[in-house]
Amino acid sequence: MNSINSRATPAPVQEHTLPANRQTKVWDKGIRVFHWALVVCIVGAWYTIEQRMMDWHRGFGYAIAALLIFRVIWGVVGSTTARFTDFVVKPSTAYGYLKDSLRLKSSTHNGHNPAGGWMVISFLVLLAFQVISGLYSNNEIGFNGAFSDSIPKALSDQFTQWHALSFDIITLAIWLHLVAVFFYVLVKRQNLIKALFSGKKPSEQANPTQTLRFFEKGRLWLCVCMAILPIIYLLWIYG
Amino acid sequence: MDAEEKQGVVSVGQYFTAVGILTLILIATWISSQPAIIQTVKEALGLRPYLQAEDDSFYQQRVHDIMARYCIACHTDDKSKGGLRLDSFRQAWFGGKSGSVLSNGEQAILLQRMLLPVDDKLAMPPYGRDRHTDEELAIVTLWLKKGASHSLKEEDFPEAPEKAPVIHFAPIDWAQINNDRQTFAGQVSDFQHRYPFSLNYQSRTTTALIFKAQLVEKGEVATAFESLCGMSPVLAEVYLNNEYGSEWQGDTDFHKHYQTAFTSRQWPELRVLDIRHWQISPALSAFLVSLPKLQRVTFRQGYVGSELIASLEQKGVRVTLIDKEGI
Repeated sequence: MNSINSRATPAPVQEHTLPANRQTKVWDKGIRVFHWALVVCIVGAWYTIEQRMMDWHRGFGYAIAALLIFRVIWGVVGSTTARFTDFVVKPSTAYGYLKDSLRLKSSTHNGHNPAGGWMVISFLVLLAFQVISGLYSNNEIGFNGAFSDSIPKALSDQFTQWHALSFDIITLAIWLHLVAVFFYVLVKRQNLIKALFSGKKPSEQANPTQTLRFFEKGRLWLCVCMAILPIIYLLWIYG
Repeated sequence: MDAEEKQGVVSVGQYFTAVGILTLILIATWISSQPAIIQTVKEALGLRPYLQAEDDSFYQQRVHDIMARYCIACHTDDKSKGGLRLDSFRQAWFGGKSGSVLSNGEQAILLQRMLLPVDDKLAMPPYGRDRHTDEELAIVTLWLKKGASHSLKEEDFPEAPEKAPVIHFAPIDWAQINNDRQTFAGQVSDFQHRYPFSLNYQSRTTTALIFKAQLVEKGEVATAFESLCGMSPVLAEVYLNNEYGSEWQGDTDFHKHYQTAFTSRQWPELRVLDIRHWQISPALSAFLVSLPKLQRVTFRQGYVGSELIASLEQKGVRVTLIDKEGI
């Protein structure tokens, strides 16, 4: 079933005209589960490599791969706030938004704000590289990424180095992400974390001029299957 | 704007001050766990001397070879598993993700991991790799027990197992070998194409050639031998021991032709010669005695005089005589 939040009037909404605690739905189930599953998988992948639990590490890697495939598909055919067209803007627009944000004068957005949109793209690129480099890596002592035998050993070793270096960059990106999130929570009083659990945010923090469409049944499950199938195929072929 | 900033729990300024402080604390915590950075900075500031093992230290003389043999495949500059490098004392001293691997004497992580059963998940070297010997383990243990020093000398470890003699092979200069072969490379190549398998280099590293006539067609032996004589400066072993006797036995001119071709050349490298079908003339006898490096020669009994045999044996040449049946 598709639920539709429609705001016909583009005029700014005055705070005192809204009922207290009125909430607007902004994130669908797909995005919420994706986000927190990604958090669990990244932490899991880090913990398992530190503990040399290679089979588990590979499992988390495949799970991240499936999540990334889902997110890309969902970014094209998913709910309004999930789509790339909703949040990918010119870098200059994102920069302008960041400057306004520091002055607490930025515009409101239902989904990702212009700067957050670029954060999403950065994470997708970084994590995609992390997954691909992992598939070509080896740990010298019996564990090989699924594709590592298809390239020379020296190149596989190089990918292993990049896999480690890339995680350092991801850690830095996570730190920046957390700084931004808590800026919203503590300075702007917009609890983005809570919104990513409930899917809703206070209506005064939403943009009432935008019509939001949510897909949370057939289309969502179809996209989930499309994301999982390549990973099942990978497991079937390479074990 | 001030009014707007006060709407949060903290202001923009307060927030980023806190973020800055927290970031600095995180960076400081990270740096404090990086002895390589601390050491390098202190060296740069002149607070510490450059950390490295002395050339005549026990580490450099005895321990480093063990690390190089078993560890650096995975613990070196371009592949530091676990953040650990063992390609030098300096890097080993910095340790890895698990911290220092050299401290605590016999409890040092380096040794503890080497002591684990071969099939243990944490054993080093890992399962499937070459493993250290008991003597090598003893050397590492002694070194760690005495503080993993970069300066203690071999004489400070009198109880250490004796150093095994090391055989160093001279490096092979392939370019030089190729260069040395160039003079006759064309002739050798042509000959090998024309008479396959009959002419080869003695080894991959020499210019000297071996000729074995067995695989040359009977009717082509004379022509082949003539071509062969063109390479006489680099021929070391010549075996004319095939059964083409009927081709020329009793044919005096043919016989002379062979021997003239042979004696008209210089054979400075010839060491082994099998001419069991040749009847040895006085001129050939004198020529054979004059060959500078000849070591072994084979004649047929009755085709060679006893004087020549005596002269050759006097020179240290091993003479083999065979009868008609080739024994």
